[in-house]
Amino acid sequence: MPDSKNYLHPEAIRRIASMELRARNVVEGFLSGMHRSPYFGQSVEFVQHRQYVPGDDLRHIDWKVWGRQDRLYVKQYEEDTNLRCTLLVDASASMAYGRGPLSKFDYAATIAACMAYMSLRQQDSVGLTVFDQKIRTKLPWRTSRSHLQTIYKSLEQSPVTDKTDLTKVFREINDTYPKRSLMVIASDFLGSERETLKGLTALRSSGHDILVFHIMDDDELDFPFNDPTRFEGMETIDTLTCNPRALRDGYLESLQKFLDRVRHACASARIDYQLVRTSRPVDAALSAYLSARMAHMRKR
Amino acid sequence: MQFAYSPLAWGFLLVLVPLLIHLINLVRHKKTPWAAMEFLLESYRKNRRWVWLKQALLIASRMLAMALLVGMLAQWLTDSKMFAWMGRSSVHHYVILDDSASMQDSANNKSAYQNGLGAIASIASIAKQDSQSHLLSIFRASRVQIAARDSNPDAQLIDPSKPNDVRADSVADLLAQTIPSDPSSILTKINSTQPTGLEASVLDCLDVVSRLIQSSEDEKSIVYIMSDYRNKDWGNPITIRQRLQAIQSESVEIQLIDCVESRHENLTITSIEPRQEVLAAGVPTMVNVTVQNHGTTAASNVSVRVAAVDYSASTGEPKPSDRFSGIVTELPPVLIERIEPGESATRNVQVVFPKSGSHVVQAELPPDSIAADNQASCVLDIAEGIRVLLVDGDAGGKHSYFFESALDPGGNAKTGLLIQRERPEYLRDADAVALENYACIILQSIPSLDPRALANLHSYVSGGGGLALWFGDDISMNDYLRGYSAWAKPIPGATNSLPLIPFALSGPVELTKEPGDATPDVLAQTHPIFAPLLGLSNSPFQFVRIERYVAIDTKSETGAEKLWKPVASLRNRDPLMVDYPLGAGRVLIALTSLDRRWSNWPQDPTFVVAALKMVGYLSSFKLPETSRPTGTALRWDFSSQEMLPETRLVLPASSARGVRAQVQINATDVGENSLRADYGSSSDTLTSDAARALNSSGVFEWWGTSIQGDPKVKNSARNTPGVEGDTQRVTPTDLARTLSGVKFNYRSAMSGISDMTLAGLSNRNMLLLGLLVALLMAEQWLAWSASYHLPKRS
Repeated sequence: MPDSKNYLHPEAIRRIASMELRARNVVEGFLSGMHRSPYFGQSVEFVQHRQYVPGDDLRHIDWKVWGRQDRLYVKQYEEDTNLRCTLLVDASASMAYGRGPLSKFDYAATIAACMAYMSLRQQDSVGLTVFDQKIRTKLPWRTSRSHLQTIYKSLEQSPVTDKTDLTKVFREINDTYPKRSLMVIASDFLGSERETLKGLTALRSSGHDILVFHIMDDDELDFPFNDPTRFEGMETIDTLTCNPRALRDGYLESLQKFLDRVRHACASARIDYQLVRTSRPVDAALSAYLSARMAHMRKR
Repeated sequence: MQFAYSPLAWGFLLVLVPLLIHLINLVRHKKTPWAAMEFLLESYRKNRRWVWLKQALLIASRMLAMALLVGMLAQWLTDSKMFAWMGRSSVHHYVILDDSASMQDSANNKSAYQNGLGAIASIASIAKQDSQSHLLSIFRASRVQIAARDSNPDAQLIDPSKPNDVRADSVADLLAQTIPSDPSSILTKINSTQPTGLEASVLDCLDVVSRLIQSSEDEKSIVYIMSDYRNKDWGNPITIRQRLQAIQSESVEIQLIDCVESRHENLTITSIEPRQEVLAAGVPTMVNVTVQNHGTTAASNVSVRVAAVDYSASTGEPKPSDRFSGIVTELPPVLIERIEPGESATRNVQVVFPKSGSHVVQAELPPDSIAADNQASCVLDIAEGIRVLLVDGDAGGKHSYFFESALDPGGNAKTGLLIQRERPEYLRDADAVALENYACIILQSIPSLDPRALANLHSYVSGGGGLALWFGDDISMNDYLRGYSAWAKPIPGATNSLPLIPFALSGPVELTKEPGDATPDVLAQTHPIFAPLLGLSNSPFQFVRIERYVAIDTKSETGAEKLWKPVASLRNRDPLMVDYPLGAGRVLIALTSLDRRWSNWPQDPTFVVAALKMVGYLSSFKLPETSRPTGTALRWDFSSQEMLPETRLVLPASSARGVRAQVQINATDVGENSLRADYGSSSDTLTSDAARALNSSGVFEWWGTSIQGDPKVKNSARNTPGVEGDTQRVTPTDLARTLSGVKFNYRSAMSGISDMTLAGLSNRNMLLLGLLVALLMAEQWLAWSASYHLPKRS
């Protein structure tokens, strides 16, 4: 039996070109490792029986059938939409960076695709917004399976070119999605820090539950450059020729302060914050998502 | 800035390498698109100055490290006092090699000079084993001494107590030469040298070395004086002690290296010269040979070989393959029965050269420890005849009869003298050049002389001529008192302020005789004129009667009262014959006359002897030198109307059977119709063989051609000074006493060098190494500090 964890590793993900297959593999692999299935409906309308598979919740076993046929079946209900999940994916030029298997955008898009897949299997409604300095793609909440294909297609075709302006984007999203929902934001937040944090706080103030995936490449976090390098800004026209080792400590110190400020701002606004390296398996992101979803459900 | 290995100084260009690498790295940078530019720029703004400073310091430290490394490898030398505290960067060995004739002193087929060369090789060998830089300078005493003499041609004015100003680079055999791993490569030249025949002192060398040491204060200096430490040089070396005291300092070490093991027996020919006689063709000439015993025991049956070399009988061409170009005639050896230690013995040899020419007489002793002083030569410039001028106050020449009879008797008796009689007016009318042709002038019974004649005679004598003055009846009392007073006064316009005669005359006086007094009328003093007549048991003048003589005015003041001395006295102790030096010549004043009313001496046989000796004596002051000390510059002056300017000089052979070297020399104009062929030790054309020959004893043959095409030869003899044969040595104890105040080490060249160590010398390179290590550590810290080292991967 193949190790399901293999599907979570960025190296493995990179080999799967289709976003659909990528999401299915990741999610199925992720879920197969859990002791308790996350799938359980909240509706009461019975649909069919299904043979028990390890991982199914024992509470859903139909004991009467077991008493008659001595076989384990679980009851399946037609689940109702119980969650509105909005996926916000940053497609600014800075998200194109990545010297590893996946660029930051690829990683963010994979996470978004996986979550869309999981959500729609749960009968949750999923919406998608791809943005840079303005909203480039906006898909409304839907629960239909066909919506999943639309999401995949949008993610696959989104260009990463322009600057980031989260203030404007968050204001527009706040206006577009008036109902409370779970907002999953995947971005590197490289832009105007002050405006970004202000926008996040505003979203949170509107009653949205917000889960932030702060996507950062290993290079950005470790700055492992040794040789003289000319750094050219991806969203600015700034360039800097330097010996990276001479500036490394100062860079890491500034970066760490930035991350601390973002983390602190998110904690202050009760926003779930996850710093994600593009070299790490995506299960961390999915676990964080499930925790956030559970918390959202409890609130309801 | 100086370096021991100068070519390695080009390595200083390597200091640019770190800078070039830095610049190349800046150009070769990689391009990377970067998202988190904000934080990178913030870091750059914050650290820009500090990073730049560290980077500049880092590059500077790497460049400096490179410079230090190259400086160490090239062995940086500096005379800057600022770096004196760093210690001595190198050791400079100054070797003063005594190459005087006494260094030929040999024992066991090895000379003292060779022992010195061996000591130099040992020093170089020891030095090369040391890790630090060692420089070697070698000076030979003869070269420096000759250069010092040439820099001051008037040798009489050289004061040994005053330092010379000889340039080291012009006289050094090696100057500040770095001792390589194979020292023999730099010692080849000095090892090919040989001791000279000169009397050389190390004084001039000490002057040169002293200046070198003063100009390089940062060096550790070791001065080696390799000599034979003879008593004549080191017995009371006040001047040497002053020189050594002048150079000694904390950084200067003085090593006295004795190249002779012990004193050896040695005989020396101290002189060989003809007697003061007439040198004329066919006239026998007596040559005196003096041998001195410089050993510690008496020498017995010393056989001196004598050879006469006749150049008139030669083919007229130089013969370089022979010892001499002339015909060599071995004379019977002279046997000296016994010579006590320190004593000399003189023997004479009779030689006869039938024809005129520049002939040579050479004497040679049996081989002993010092070969240079075993041979000596003299050159006899034999003329066909010696011209003698007789000036007679009598018109009939009656006073000259006796001299003419004695000096040119005719028949088979050949005196070599050519007599010419003239009247006193001749002296007035003749010019100085005409008088120069006469070997001597004899005046007889001259009443008075014209002032011009007096001036000519004064000039003639001052220039080396001989003048004999006899009186007679032709001179009146007035002439004695007034006419001759002009003789006793300085001659107006003459360069020599002395008068022609040293006293005024009082006039003729009768010599009284006491009855029964057996004292001879003439009492001869020791003088060359009477040399053959003295030493007899009875006075040879017992039959000579002096009836009248000219008394001198003892109260007269001429300024030359103390210069004359009596050659012969009368019975009453009044002077009869007086010898008076005037300039380069002599005046012999006979205070009587040959007239029979004055004396019967012409009838006595002693007169002939005395007359011939007198002429020989008076003419000897114009004779050229028969020999000179080794190393004296060679010169031949001749008339351009007689000779062509092209000459050839045949040098003595370096070995007994060697071929003699020849040098072509063109004479130069030195005046009207005068040419001079000059060949000195400082000549630019001097080859090593020629320089070696020039500093050796022997006969130098000048060959020229007369304008008629006939070959002419003129010989010059150069002999090793007799003092060089003195083997008496100074003991180390005496040396310590005479050199009190001078800190020195005394070693033997044969046994004392091998245990010599050069330890304890500090080295600037060690300090440079320390600086380099410290600098590299600082560079590492800077590089680490500037994050130029990769961080450890967590």
